[in-house]
Amino acid sequence: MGNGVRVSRRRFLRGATAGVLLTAGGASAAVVMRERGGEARTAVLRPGAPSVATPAPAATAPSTALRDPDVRLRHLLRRTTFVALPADVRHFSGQPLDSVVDQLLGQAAADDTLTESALAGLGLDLTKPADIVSWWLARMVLTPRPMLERMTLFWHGLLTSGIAKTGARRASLLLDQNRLFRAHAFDTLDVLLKSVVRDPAMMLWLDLATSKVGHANENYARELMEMFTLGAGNYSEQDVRESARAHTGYALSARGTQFVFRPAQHDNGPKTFLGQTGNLDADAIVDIILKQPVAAEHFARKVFESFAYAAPGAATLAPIAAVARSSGFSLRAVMRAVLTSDAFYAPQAYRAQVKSPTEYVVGAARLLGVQGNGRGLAQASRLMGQVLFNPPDVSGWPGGRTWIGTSTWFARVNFAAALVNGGGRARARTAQAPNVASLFASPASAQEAVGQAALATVDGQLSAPSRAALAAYLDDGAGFATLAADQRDARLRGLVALLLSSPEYQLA
Amino acid sequence: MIGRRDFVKKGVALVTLGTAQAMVPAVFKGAFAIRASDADAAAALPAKTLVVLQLAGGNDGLNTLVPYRDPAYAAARPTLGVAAKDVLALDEAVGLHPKLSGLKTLWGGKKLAVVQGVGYDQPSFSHFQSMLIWQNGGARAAAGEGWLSDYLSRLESEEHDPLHGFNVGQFVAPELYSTKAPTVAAPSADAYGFQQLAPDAADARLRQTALLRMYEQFPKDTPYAALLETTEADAVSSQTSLTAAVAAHTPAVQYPNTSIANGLKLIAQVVASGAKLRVAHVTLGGFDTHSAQRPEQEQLLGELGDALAAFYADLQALGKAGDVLTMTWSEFGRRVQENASAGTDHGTAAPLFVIGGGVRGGVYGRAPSLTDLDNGNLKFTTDFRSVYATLLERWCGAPSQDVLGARYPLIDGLIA
Repeated sequence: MGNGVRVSRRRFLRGATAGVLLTAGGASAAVVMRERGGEARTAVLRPGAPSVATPAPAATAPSTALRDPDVRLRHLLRRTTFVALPADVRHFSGQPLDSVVDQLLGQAAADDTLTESALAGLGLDLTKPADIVSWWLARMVLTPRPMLERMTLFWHGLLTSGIAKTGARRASLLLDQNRLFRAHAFDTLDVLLKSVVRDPAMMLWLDLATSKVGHANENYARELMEMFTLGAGNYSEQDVRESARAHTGYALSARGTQFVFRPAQHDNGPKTFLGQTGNLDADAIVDIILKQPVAAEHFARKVFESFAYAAPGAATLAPIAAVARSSGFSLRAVMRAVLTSDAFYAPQAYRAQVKSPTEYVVGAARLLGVQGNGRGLAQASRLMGQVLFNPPDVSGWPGGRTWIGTSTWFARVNFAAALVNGGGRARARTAQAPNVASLFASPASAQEAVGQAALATVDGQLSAPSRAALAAYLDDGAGFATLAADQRDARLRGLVALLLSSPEYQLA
Repeated sequence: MIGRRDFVKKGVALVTLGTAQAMVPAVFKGAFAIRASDADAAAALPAKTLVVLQLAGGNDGLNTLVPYRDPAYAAARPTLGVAAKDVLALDEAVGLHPKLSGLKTLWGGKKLAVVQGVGYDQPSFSHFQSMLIWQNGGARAAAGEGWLSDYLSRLESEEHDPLHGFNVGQFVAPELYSTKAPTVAAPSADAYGFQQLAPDAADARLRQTALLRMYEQFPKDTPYAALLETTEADAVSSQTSLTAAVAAHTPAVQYPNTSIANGLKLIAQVVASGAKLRVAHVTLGGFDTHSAQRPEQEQLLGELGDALAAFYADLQALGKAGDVLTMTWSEFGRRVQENASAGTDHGTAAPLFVIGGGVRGGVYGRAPSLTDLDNGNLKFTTDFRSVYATLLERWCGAPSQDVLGARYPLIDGLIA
């Protein structure tokens, strides 16, 4: 690990420092803080958030959909790039999936200066909590390398931190953390862990910043093992206490925006952690943790569950864990192993996940080419139950069934309608109109229109009765074929809104 | 009686028969009419409501119910301790945090019970593990259900009502998770429901019809099918009920403008509407006070006490105070010794509150020792499942043994 790690960390720290935007504070920031404060308090540890992955309801007749190469490609694109864009499907169609995976993994190197300049022109104030959420969502929509954003979202969910703890005045620290995750999105876990322990947002989130010799705060030490690396039951309370001692002295500068190591506050006594004794520091703790056999399984499970499906069997994880071990916990290698595994295209993988609000709004906006300043998406996502940079607790977002409730269901349906209608909450000032027509190729009948829209939204995997219901909608009155152009346009918008609201589309 | 599946099926069948204009309301009017006419089923249901109020993050029990005469308390809390003179004494040993003056009023009316030292054996110090243990009651984890799921499923098997279980907030609480239980969750009645589905009203109606049909037609053997289908059905019907409930009841008292008070107010409005609300869930979060605890916890306890006092007064004015019982819980208390960040780390046992006209006020259970500790943590004296068993059996009229995995001793006298 040695050199490579240190070099990339230094590179990060330099980049992050440059990225810190000094806030002018002021009255409006205070208002935001107060509003956010009230909301955040109820959000920190919300009802629920079970620590274990919520299994999908037991079921089910295995879907045969993934036997179709076209559906396999759409499934891969949906899971890794938010949505299977028709243009991407055309581009990759007919290529071996291994090759498609490699091209997707190579996206991170693509030039993204246009996105950067577009983002800079959105008029967002990146010292404000609401605007950094908009900034990231707008970025996810604008970028030509969406998989990089999806991976950044993965890290934000795993090594999470939130505004509820850093405070609204230091919102830009979360943006720094976001840049860290993006810069190291495909890096190794030890680099991420050794960087994040020095990341001010994380240090505030898990109380590292106030941990001193003789009074070690256990919060970070516990979550490092429970959430980030090993899982509950794979360490003792004594290990938590010893690790907490090793993490003392990792402090923040007086202004609270930069990492500093304070030797006088570091516990230099011997610590015994997971069977090893020495004057351990935070980096040594990471090295010991990643030598635990269970660490590779844990990492493989986290990646697999995020991209494939919940609660995979041991036999499914074993080869992926082996790749984690042999690659030194490289996310690039583990991602490749997951996306090229048979399990990823197995019947139980199809529509096995509930789309997160972020995936839902970003996917829909990308599909319809709606590029705005992200504020509408942020508002919609909040109503669906997800505010980026403000996770409910240190386990991130539990996902799965927790995304589906009556309130969040209404939010999804209402967002789809507003987006497609080109108005309402989803329409930000600078948003482009939704390009509904791009999903259609001169449909001559209601059935044809339904077929084209269903292909673009739900892989064409829609039951005959649902197709009939949608065709009936298009045909209501004198029939789709007889409609005047503007009515026809309205009905096609309605069709797309319905498909985005459909049960099929809620699942990834 | 009409089962949930029947309800959903019949409701959808009505959609397919109806005309576009009157369709959606008719579905639910139809279903409600069937239910209302079944007087026997209605009479068989208990008319009690249990409100579960979660204090998320691990509330510091020692600064909530303060052992103000114990020198070990003052020693362990040199900067965070509540001074004996400030405590709202309940008896010779314990008193409420001064910010809980709202609860002191209820105590005077004998409507506040405190159960001391509530916890469980081999405690987890993880928020998530411990929350999960409290939420599933120890026996329902594998099924992905909560300790109240079985009760709700039982009610559901007798008759369908989307408001049997109601979550204040955007999410369904895991205590209520069940493939059969309702999924109604609303942060407020405002903006709960369909907004403009289409610029043209006739088109919007057509879209809504097609939407409901798609949920009806979603293949039942696919992942999440039952959840998606019932969510859609409950969303549409509960929107009507909630809007009506909020319009119908103007509270008799002024609630504070806090999220917890607004949540309790919404529950009171649902109760006032006559809906068969049996379990409500509401959360106050932010109790994970590892640092700078004092201002944070004081603010939260103040909001909690004031909101509960207003809620009780509102219910009393409605004549429903005896029909609604509120239980608070938190995944754990906190370490006895305060830490160097003027906060407290994750701990174990803590007191909880049970409030309502049906409660016999008093202090229950034994206070844990502050000197006989387990690694700096309190040893629990009352298993939380004893509280659950008491509420299930004495308040809800539901069995507890299967849900909790064993028979737990009931707390005598807690329910009047």
